[in-house]
Amino acid sequence: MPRSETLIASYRRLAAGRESPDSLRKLAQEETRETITIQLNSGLTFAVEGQLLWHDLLRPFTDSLGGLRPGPLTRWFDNNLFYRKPVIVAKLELTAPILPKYLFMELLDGLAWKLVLPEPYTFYSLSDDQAYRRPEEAILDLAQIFSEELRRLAPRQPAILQLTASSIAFKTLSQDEIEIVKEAFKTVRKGFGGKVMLHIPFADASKAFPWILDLGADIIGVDPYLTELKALKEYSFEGSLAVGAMDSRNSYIESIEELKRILDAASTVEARSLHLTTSADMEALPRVVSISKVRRLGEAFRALREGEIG
Amino acid sequence: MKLFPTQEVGSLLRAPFLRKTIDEAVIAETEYWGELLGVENYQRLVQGLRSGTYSREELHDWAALYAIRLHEAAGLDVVWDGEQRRIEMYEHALRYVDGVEFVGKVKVWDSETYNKAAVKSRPRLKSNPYTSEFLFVKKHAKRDVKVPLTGPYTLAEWSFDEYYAPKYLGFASLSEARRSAKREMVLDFAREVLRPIVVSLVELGATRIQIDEPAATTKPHEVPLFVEAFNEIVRGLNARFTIHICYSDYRLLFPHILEAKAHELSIECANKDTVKRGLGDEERRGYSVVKLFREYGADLAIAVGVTDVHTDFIEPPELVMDRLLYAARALGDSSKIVACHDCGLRTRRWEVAYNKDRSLVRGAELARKKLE
Repeated sequence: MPRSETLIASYRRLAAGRESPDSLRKLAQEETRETITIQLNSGLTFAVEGQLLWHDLLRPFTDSLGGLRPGPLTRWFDNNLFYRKPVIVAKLELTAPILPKYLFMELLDGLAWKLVLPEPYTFYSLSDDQAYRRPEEAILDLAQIFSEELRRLAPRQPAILQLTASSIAFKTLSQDEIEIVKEAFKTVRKGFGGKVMLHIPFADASKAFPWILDLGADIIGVDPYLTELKALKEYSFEGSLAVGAMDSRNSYIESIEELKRILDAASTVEARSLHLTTSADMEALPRVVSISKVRRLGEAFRALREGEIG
Repeated sequence: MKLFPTQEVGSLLRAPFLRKTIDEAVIAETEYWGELLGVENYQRLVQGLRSGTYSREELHDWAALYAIRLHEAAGLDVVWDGEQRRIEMYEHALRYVDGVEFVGKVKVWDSETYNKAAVKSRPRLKSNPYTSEFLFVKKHAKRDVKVPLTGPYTLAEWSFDEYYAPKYLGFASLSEARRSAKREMVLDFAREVLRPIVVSLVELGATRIQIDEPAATTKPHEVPLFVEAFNEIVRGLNARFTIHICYSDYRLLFPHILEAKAHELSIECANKDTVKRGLGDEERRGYSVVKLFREYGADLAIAVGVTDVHTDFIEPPELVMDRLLYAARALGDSSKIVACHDCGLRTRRWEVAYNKDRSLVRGAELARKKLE
């Protein structure tokens, strides 16, 4: 979720030495509380914590993981959004727990929440490796680190772990690369009790079909604005399909009827169930727009559930 | 024809006297630059600042004059007014467009944001501040003038779409719908906003116009659309057109950029280069991209950035010379290399900007001598 302008201003004051880390953290905590409340009040099945302390999806690890240092600002896929490229300078090592520093775990008690992490192959492909001789070693080290981090979140582990995996469909992967993705996925999932969602924003997910079906993901998330749903019809999927019908890259608030039309198109895909979601995270929307989108998502969910529409 | 002509990209930090508070430090700075740059009658400005008699508009005129003189005093061949009247390249451009509405701040990185607009109806030029801006510069500049404008692809790519996308949402294929919506939006910005501005400038005598398209390669499959929109703007017009694209993967422009009816492409290279002297591929790795233009037989002049606008490091003229000579060799035609900064100098203090300008000019002189 995006930060409010107040929180952004607080970050700027912190950078200028005019704000204390404690006071920023307090503000972020309040905003996280609001973020969760809005989702719950909107009736979403799974809430996200909002990850307001994360400058970008990789940054907690880029800044805190042994063997990594922040590199140049780099475009985040095909968005007008930039992240600090992680530079791998030595073997990756988890020297201290990272996620608890970046998540307000105390606000998640008893909640069915979703944690978003980068899928290891994607993380690696967005990095500059100056240390490992073989990419698979770095990717599996990352997977092991994520697994360890997840284990340490107990007993407040998320109900769903979403691995953002755009790089697996940004180009067609070789068989060797596919094997690495599979191995890393297995490693992350090991010891995690919740469901794992493989989410593919900013890319045509059909490029990763059909091999992606063998990974064992409980949910596969696609952006229908980039992925032709009809191209997925030929596959049979034992898990659920999360359809990002709510466009998270545009401020236009889709009507319930429009969302339903997209879901109808997705319903021709053979899957256990359909999840209605956003096409990607909403960090590049104004906060007020993201809140409207969350509310509309809840309204659409209720309307569809109760059969008010169609 | 002069080898390695020198030019800047457009923006410059706002003049000291445009700050909210005018104190003795600002007045001293105004005097310093006025004298150093030979700004005519700058003492009148100083008096006016003390008495508070100048309007905002008059201060903008002074700021434009100071910026023009800064580039001229440094010796640039082609100048502009440092965009002293503009806020920045996106929000300023859309303030004069009907059919768009600002919807809030969005993140670009960390806590950097911009005020993002949504297109709510077909965009149309509401008013044209560029003509008076140009006439002022034309009247006061002693060198050639190049007018920078934000391009249609960037305006569309950096905006939300609440007008075109809904029209297409009923399409069976959403990806096709999105492509159609984007194309219509970009071409409307080209035809309804940029084209009228450019036509008016050419009618008033503008001979050099630069279309800034930093977003051109954001979505690689849309590079042809950016080119189509550019061609739509310049169709049938008689002026020297530059496209400025910075901080991008230039490989993605090929081969589509060859179709652009542009005379010149301005690119950022220094940021990717080393500061070591020499003409080797390793020292000059920021300029290897120039080879692509040769390989593809591009009939374009290349304005290579030979100073990095994101550091205060003042590139020695000898380093500028090496960069220009390498680029000339890589392109295989030194007559098509223009000496330029990577991008606008808005983030640099005037002292730094001025010294980078001077280094650019002196480096180009050295390179010229080497080839003569």
